[in-house]
Amino acid sequence: MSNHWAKPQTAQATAEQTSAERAEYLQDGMREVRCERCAAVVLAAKRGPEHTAVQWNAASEQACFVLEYGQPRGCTWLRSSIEQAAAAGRFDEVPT
Amino acid sequence: MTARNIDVGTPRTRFARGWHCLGLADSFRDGQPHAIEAFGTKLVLWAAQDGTINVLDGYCRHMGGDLSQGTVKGDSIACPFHDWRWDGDGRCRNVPYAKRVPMRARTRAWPTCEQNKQLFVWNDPEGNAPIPEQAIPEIPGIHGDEWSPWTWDQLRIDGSSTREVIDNVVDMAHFFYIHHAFPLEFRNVFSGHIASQYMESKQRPDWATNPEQAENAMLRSEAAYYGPSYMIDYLYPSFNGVQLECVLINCHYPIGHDSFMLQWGLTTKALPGMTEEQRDKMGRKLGKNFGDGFLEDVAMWQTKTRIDNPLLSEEDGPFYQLRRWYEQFFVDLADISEDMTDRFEFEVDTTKANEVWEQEVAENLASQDAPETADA
Repeated sequence: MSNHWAKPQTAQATAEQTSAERAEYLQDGMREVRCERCAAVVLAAKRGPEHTAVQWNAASEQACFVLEYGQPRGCTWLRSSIEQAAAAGRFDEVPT
Repeated sequence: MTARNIDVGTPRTRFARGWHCLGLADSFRDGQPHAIEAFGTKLVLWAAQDGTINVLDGYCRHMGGDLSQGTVKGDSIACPFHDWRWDGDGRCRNVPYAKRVPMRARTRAWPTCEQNKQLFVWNDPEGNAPIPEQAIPEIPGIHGDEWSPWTWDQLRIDGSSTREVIDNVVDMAHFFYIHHAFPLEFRNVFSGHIASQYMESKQRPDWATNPEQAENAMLRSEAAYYGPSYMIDYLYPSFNGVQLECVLINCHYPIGHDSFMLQWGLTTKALPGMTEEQRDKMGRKLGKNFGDGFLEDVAMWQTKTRIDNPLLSEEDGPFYQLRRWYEQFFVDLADISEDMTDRFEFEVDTTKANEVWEQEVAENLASQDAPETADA
């Protein structure tokens, strides 16, 4: 079967641009936030009252004792720290 | 401003590492060999005398005969061409007309497991043993008699790739446009080999048989991919205060790099006082409803293009992070970077979407533009 689900044929390789955009989508607006409870440091982004993105790493997962209990929605202490950071205007420079 | 190009990327050249569900285990226990096209080849499946299901590459290493056209003899599969007998471990046990089996008579065997009454094979281009931490979890209570038997359906999709199915994990808005549901709350968590989606939704009143009752039809869904291809979706539909419990399996295995088999099945828990018959009827009905949802996705996949550079709005889910997570299954173990498996959480802001959708639904209802037949 031919590769017919790849429909548009772009004249120029756009791979480089795709790669740059991917990095933007992954990193833009991410700010360090420290948890008020356990001092774990995560990267977080907030683009509105309801929106939140949280990027953990091995060290912060290790530091947090809430995640160990299989909290599927994350740590409420950390969420509260992110809300406070938002209230303090830490995410204001995030492009919209 | 220059026009934006779609980057269609290049098709993959390897298949995902991990457990892939091939179907309900008992369906392979009829004493016959079964053929399944998967992972760029054809597999042969058969049950040994103790009920263990074996999975080998389907082509006999002697002269390339199709083992799935052969016969089960004892614990072995016998090739229809020259009767070479192969065992589940991939070794040729016997060549009846020859004094001895050639030294190199070994074919590719897929490690298997059974969980939730389903059969899984472990695919790994590096040939390593299954990763214990990635074992498929058991659905609590699945072997008890409260639950209806699995419904099971499959559909072959050509001209599309498995990434399209995976993308749905984060695709909040498509639930409104494609599945006629109204997401109220939508969040994702990716961690290790698991990608989860938590959603609260209600039915779109403009697509319901009875628009007033649709307001009371809520659905809570907790869904997660365990590895690259097997999703368990715990569904809690409630209607006028009656809450049901269902489990929907959404899984697939690749056939080639531009084709895959989509499979889904549903089981539901009996309500108090229900007979087995009533329970099973409810299971079949719910299975049909949710199955219809897959067909709505398929219509998109069959005509869309592959796109490596999706253009996202702020109300879209984390497609790039999800694809980064998915990538871990397509690189060697040694090449998995931490960011592919590090925990990532995302909550979509549905405020704007809900405002607009309420409006759209109201207009549709007002103009009585709603379709006459609903898929409730």
